[in-house]
Order: sequence, then C-alpha cells, then structure tokens
Amino acid sequence: MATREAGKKMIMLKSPDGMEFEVEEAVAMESQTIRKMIEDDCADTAILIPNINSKILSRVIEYCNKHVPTTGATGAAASDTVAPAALAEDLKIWDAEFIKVNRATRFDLIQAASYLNIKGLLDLTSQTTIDTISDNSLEEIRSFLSTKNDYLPEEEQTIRRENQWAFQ
Amino acid sequence: MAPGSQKKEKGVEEVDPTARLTDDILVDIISRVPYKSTCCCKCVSPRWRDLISHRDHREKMPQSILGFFYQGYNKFRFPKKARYFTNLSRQRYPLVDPSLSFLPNHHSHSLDILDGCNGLLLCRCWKATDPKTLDYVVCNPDTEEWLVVPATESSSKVSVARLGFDPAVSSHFHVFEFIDEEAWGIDEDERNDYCFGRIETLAIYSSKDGAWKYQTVECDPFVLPRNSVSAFLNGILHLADFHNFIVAVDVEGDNWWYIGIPKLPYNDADINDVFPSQGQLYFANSTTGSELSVWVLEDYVTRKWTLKHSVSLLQLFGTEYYSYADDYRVISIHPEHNLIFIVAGDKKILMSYDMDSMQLCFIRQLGSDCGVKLLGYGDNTPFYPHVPLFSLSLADGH
Repeated sequence: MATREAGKKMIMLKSPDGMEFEVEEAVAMESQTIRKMIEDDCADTAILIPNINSKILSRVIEYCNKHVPTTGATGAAASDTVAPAALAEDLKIWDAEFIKVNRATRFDLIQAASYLNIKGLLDLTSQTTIDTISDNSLEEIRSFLSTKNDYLPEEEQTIRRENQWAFQ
Repeated sequence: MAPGSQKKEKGVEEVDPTARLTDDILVDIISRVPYKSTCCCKCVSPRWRDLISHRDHREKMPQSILGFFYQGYNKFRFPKKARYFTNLSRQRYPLVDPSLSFLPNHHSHSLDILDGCNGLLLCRCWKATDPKTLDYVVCNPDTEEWLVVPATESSSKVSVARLGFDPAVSSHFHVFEFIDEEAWGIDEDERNDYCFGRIETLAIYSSKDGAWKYQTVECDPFVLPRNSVSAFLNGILHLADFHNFIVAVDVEGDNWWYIGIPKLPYNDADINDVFPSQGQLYFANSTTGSELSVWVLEDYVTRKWTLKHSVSLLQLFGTEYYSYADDYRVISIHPEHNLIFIVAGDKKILMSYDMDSMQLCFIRQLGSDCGVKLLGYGDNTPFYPHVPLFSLSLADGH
C-alpha cells in the first residue's frame, strides 16, 4: 500500500466480527449507502457494516480501491500518460480475476454489493448467475443453485406445461 | 466462468445460495435474463414463480408479446371506425386501453395508429383547427408517455410512415416517412410512368437530433402499399413493396437493400408478410398455393432465405376448418417463439400455430367488423403486435 497523501480524510469501517478497516473517504463513498451516511453526517467515528463479515468486507474494499476514480488501486496515481481505454481494459482484466471466487463467496458479494449499493460490483457479481440462468436448462439451473424443487408434482406439471416452449 | 467448470465444494455449497438473497436482489437478477429464460425460471421453484408473477415485479421483468392493436370498421355503427386491443392470453388482465385517452384532446380526437414497434406506437393526429394538417405522436400506452413529432411539409399527403425503435440499443426512436412523387410535388408529366406512386424521398426523424433529415431515393424505384407491414430489426427497417421485393433501409437512410422474396405469389396480391422474430427477418407466404411456408433471411449480402417451416393447409386447418384455407392471413410471428399468429375466416378468428408442435390453437373471434375494407387498406387491416415497455423512458434529445 502506498503512503497516503496528507489531508485525505479516512473513514473507519467495522465488520460485525470486530475487524476494523481504515479506508479513504473517497473509496468508502463508492458505496452509495456509505456515501449517504457520510453526507448525512452519520459517520463521525466508525461505521458498522452489519451482515457483512470481515472476509467479504475486505474484498469489497479491495474492489472499491481499484474502482475509485482518479487514482489507481495499487496506489500509483493514474498518470496522464495512461489512455482511458487502456485503463478500462486493465479494470476489466482485474475484474475478471477478482470474480474468480467460489459460489458462496460470490453470493455473499452480491448481498454485500446490494446492501452497500455499489452498482459496478453488483453488476459484476450478478453476471455469472445471469449468464448461467440465460444459457442453461431448468435442470442445470437447479443444480447450479442447488435449489430444492419445492413444487408438488402436479404443480410442477402445470407450470412446466404453461412454459413448455421455453424448454425447447 | 463457464458453468461447467463450477467446482462443487461438498458440504459448504450444498445450500441454495439464492435462499439467502432478499427478494429485491433476486428480482433484480431474474429481470436481467432474456424473456425466454424467465419462463424457465418460473419452473425453478414456487418462490421464483411468485416473484416473477408478482404485480409489483411484473413490470421489471422482460416482456413479451401481450396482444394486438387493430382497427375495426362498420358503417352502420357509431363510431364507424373503432380501435381495439386484444389480449393473447386467456387472462382478462392486463389489457391495454386502445383509446390512448391519456393524450391531450387535440391529439386524440382524430387519431390513426400507423405503426407499433417494441412497445411504442406511432400515431397520426389530424389537427382539429385545420383538418388538413397533422402532428405525429409517438407514445407508450403502458407508461402513458408521449412525444410530439412535428410533421413535414409532405406529411398530410404521405400514406406510409413507420417507426424504428429498439430499447436494447437506445431510448431514442426514428420515424420514417416515405414520400411519393405526388406528395413531394413532382409534376404529373414528370413522374415515373412505369412505377405509379414511386417513393421519391425518405424523410427520417431522429428523436435524438429532434429534426428531420431528407434522403432522395436514388436506387431502384419502388412503391409501398399503404398497409405494408414493417419489421424493424437491428437498426434496419424492412417493408414489403408492391413488386415482391423487400425494401430495407438503415436509420441514417444511407444504406439500402432490395431483397427478393423467396417464393413469388401466384397472383398480384400484396405481399405483406415480413416479420421480426428471434432477432431475424421472417417471411411467411400466406397468399399462395396449398401450403404455408415460413422463411428466414440468413444473409443480407447473398440475400439467402432458408425454409424454416412448411405445412400444407389441409394439415394446418384440418378437414373441419379447411374452409379457412381460402381466407386466412399471417399477421405476426412471436418475437421469441416459433409461433405464428393467423387471422382467418369471415368472423376473423385469431389463432396461433406452433411450428414446433404443429398445433393450431384458437384464441378469439375478433368479429367480422375487423378486416372489412378500410379505405385504402384493402382487406388487410393492420395488426400491431404489442410488447409492453416499462423499463425505459421516452427520450427527447433536444
């Protein structure tokens, strides 16, 4: 982590399992939920983020660090020589690496992104699920999500008949 | 990550992770899959079905064809001309109000629907103050939004105006006005002798620019029947002309295509049967011979059509309803599904034909008022398929 420039305001984020994360205000404000808290002056000392454990929260902060505008995530300031297109390409590659996580973590991230209202992260984490649902058969979707089939047999028959064409 | 490469971590991953997601998040995810997949999703579990069907969420979900707008005519009735909307499902709800009464009075008092495209309608509104002048209005009957498109100098004489709109690409739309030689003011003795009613100029209105742009038609001469059904697909408007060609033009008016139809009709009946479906252009020849065949355009460059489906009329209607074979027409093709919509017989019965299961299904009797000759429309009352659009606001670029 590069040394922070003086004068940058820091925010303390606390996870329910007691971990504390000090992040730049600009990074924290990638989350619209936190931004609102800060703007409403509800963030004097530390902000407790409920329902998001430290493992997930640290990953969310990692994402926000990378995506906060004007400075690169590694701390190296985005120099004027880097073209926006190259930067976007770099972010895309970074995102693809970032999302290589197991399914449980990905759904935790979806929940966190939704609660913290970070649109980019929500889009990124939802996409695999959207793709899976879009490209696969009912049985494959069920097995991907390990969804229990709660339909009664006759109920299932009816709903399948009504939507028969979608299976072809 | 490819779904196939998904590693199963036994013990940890056996629980459905979506069970922990709130309804809002799950609805957000399901609403972003294509329509066909949402139908599949309904079968995943009762929770998913209920979320998708819930009134509060329905508008967020991908939409498909709900029904048709059409016009009926009966000179012994008041009003003689009436607009209708017919639902395709057997449920009474939701219906769309075809009166478009949300438009201000001065627009709705004398209004014709000219085209429908992906949830929007293009209407021609004659002005009460001066019945020879008009405005175009583009509206969304589901959200009751509307925008006025100013007429061109030729609009009052133009019979073919169509709408191009694709919410997947942009919230802006284009209006295409095909101006023939007479409407453009060309002297009678200077008009094309061999091509009466030749389209001289194409005016295209872009809602982004808020202005009309004119293009002189320089390629092969063509004439459009006023009830020509249009198909807007991938930024290209397609219309059947009088001479068994499909005229296609992009939204800039820069590129034109003339595509011969795959099978010529026996007589000079209008071909009127191009439809967008599943991202491709379909052609159905319902005016010829003893079979119904459906073709799909594979390639604009080679103009290659592929036969998608063919069924004899005897097989289509069966012996019991074989009389419909002389009096039927394909009015639309389902946007996502191999399903054709047909109107047949004196009573104008709306039915669907599933090309996969080869099953004919009666939907509703529209009544003999529908399809009675409308001035200048021949027998072919236009039917405008309607796919509701809730997710996008009409954009006005200026």
